[in-house]
Amino acid sequence: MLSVNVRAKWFTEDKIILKDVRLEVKSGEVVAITGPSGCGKTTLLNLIAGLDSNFKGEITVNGNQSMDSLTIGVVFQTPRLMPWLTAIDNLLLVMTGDPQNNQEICEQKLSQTGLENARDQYPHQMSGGMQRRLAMARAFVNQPSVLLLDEPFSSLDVATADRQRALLMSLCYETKPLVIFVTHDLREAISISDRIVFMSNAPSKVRDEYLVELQGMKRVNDPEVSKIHLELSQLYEF
Amino acid sequence: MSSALLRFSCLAALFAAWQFIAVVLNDPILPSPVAVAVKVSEYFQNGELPYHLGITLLRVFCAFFIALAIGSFIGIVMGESKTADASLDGILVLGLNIPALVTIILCYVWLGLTDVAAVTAVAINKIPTVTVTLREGARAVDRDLLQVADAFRLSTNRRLMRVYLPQLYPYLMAASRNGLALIWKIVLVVELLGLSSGVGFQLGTFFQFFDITSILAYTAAFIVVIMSIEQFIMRPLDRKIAVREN
Repeated sequence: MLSVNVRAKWFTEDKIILKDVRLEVKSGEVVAITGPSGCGKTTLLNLIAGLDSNFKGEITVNGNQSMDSLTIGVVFQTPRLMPWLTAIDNLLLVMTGDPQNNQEICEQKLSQTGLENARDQYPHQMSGGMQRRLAMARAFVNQPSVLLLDEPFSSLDVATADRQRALLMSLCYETKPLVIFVTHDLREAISISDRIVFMSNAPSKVRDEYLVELQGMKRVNDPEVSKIHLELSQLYEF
Repeated sequence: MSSALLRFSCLAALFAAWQFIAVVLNDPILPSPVAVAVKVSEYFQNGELPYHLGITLLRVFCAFFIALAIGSFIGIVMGESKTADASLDGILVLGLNIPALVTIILCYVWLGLTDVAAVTAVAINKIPTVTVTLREGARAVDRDLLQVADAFRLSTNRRLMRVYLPQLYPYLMAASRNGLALIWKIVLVVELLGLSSGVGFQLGTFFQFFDITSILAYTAAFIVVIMSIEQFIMRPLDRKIAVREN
């Protein structure tokens, strides 16, 4: 169980971005965080990822353990691959443990993401979609117990984004990590998450939560997704 | 015509023109390239040229690595810390504007006419320019990539060696190439002014005897060595980095 309790996060003294944000996520749960632009979704994700420690509050695991005790995988808005490393070296970079074993795991992840032929290619030699798949593979190489995603499918066309979402869910199926997923796309949130957390305008807090009771992952234009989308978008305008 | 052939043709034309003018003038102040080549061979065979060339190259490399190490360190610190940048910027500007000759004279006066003084003087002259280049490099480091290192809990060593420093390689490369080009010229002046060995010292001696053939022989040999370093070490390294950096 991941417990987030952010009493305050500010950029400047008079600009508080998050205030009294409380959130609990169970192991294996997929939670989407959504809300208006500039409400602090990415900021909250950065706090959970440990990329920003300048806030009041605490983020703990299983009661009192720190996030550092967990293996975390992160997918950013852009792939953020090291341009001087090949595909496999980008994966090996973030790995810990036995090098021989690491090599095998990386090969396997490249294969799962359809990048086995791009093993020795540099990021600039890959298409945008391949780069995103590699970033996804990187997030999974350490078999993370917590997976954090920051709008990883924004700026992709509908078909590509659908394929990437399917890939994400298939990778999640193996390790069943706790997933926190930031998105501004309500349809996307409905299609892949178990629960949607709605943030308010800044200074932001959790405004409401919605349990998605769909069986398995759906496409964003699935009728069931559309039905829930219509219902929710009438309730929450952003 | 390929660029290599074009380059070779221009050089060949220059040597041909030089040979032609030298033959027409027939004056010891402009020896022919053939005469210079014969002199190079002569000095090479009697061991004089390799000895002085070796000493000069040793001084060049000592000064080069000292300047690169210290300049890079200060540059990175200034690029990363606004306080360090504000504190050291005045000294940096001062260092950039002190004439090389002044540094050389002061080092000889303070440290004596020694190799230590010579290398120190050359390094002091080069450190500010390396610092400026690496400061820009450190400022340009992609913070998003560092965030990846933090998010995946990379060790300090791996973060430095695999994520941070590779972003500085193009700047290190630029500082190295400019550094080498500048340092070998300053080393010759340093040797001319206060040492009793090296290519610079030999050039000074030949100048006193108006021995232009020997001056050109030493110059040619030295330029060939420096150009070889540029051609076989610096350029391949630069190309390798350029490919990776796209």
